[in-house]
Amino acid sequence: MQQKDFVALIQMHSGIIHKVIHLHLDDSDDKKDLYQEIMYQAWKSVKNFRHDSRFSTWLYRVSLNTVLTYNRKSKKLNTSNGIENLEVAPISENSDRSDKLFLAIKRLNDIDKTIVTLHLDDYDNQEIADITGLTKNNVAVKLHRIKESLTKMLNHGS
Amino acid sequence: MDLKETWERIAHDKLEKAPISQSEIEKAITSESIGLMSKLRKKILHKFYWIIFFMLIFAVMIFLVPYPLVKVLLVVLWAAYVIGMALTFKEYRFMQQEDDMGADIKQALVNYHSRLTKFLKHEEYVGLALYPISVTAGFFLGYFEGKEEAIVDTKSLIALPIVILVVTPLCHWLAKWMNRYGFKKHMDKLKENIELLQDQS
Repeated sequence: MQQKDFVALIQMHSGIIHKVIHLHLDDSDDKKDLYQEIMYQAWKSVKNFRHDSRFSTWLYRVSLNTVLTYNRKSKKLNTSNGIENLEVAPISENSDRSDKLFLAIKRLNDIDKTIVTLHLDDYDNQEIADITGLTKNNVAVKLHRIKESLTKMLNHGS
Repeated sequence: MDLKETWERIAHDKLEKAPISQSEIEKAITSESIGLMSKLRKKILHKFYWIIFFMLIFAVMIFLVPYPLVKVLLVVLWAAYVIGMALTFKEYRFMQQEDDMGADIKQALVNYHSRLTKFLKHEEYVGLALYPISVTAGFFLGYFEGKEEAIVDTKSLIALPIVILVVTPLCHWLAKWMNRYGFKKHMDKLKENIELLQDQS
């Protein structure tokens, strides 16, 4: 792929990079470093992109892999929180519904967070499996549990 | 309002940003990686350069040293470094190929960790065989220098194994320390990443 084509594709799909970074990182220094690193890794790996999936799916995978292998300053916050923590850590009653959902999703571990946001962005289970490296069945099971917990949390406020 | 609608609001309010500019992308793709795998790959490349440096030193010495016994030992060392150079380059190429963020990253990290651990261990073990040769070469070089005839007396022949016994473990310890100093921090982070990915999936 020519550099100018790559630049145009990244510009077209830069929302994916923004989304992955804002969902997975809190530290502003990390965010700044990761923008550059994701684009660097994407350029380096693009020669292996075989067009058997959408460019957006491939870019999501590159962005996620780069975030997961990056030594985050605040990584510990994201490592152990599974969906069970949504129920033990209440989110303020005064929060707006979208704030509540955003906070709840941010509290999920990296893989759960990726699964649910990709699903909400209309990626099908096979594409989610391709991005996360899980099986399609595993994605479906996890997704069901995460959605149930998030809905419960939104309806009951905690 | 269901999850999807709420998510669309979040995406609109919190996650939508202006597209990344062309100059930012061009700057990013020509910059250096700050990723863990890239750091480890660079460390292996530095090892490769050091091997070339020592190969050149040995090559020059082979031509300059007049003593046949020392020459033979230096040729053995040089040959070992040639093989080491080829293996290190092969490892570097493997790491370059594995470093594909569009592929299965968990498997790539596992491969990276296990290959690199083996590579460093092998390097340390091969060193154990080479230190006695280096010590012997150095010992005879120092011994023959300034002497009219390259003949070794019994006293020196007894001293040589003692020197080897002292210097070999020291060099082995130093090599292990250098590998720990250069790689341990990054290897631990790599292991942490693998465990993290295994836990989450």
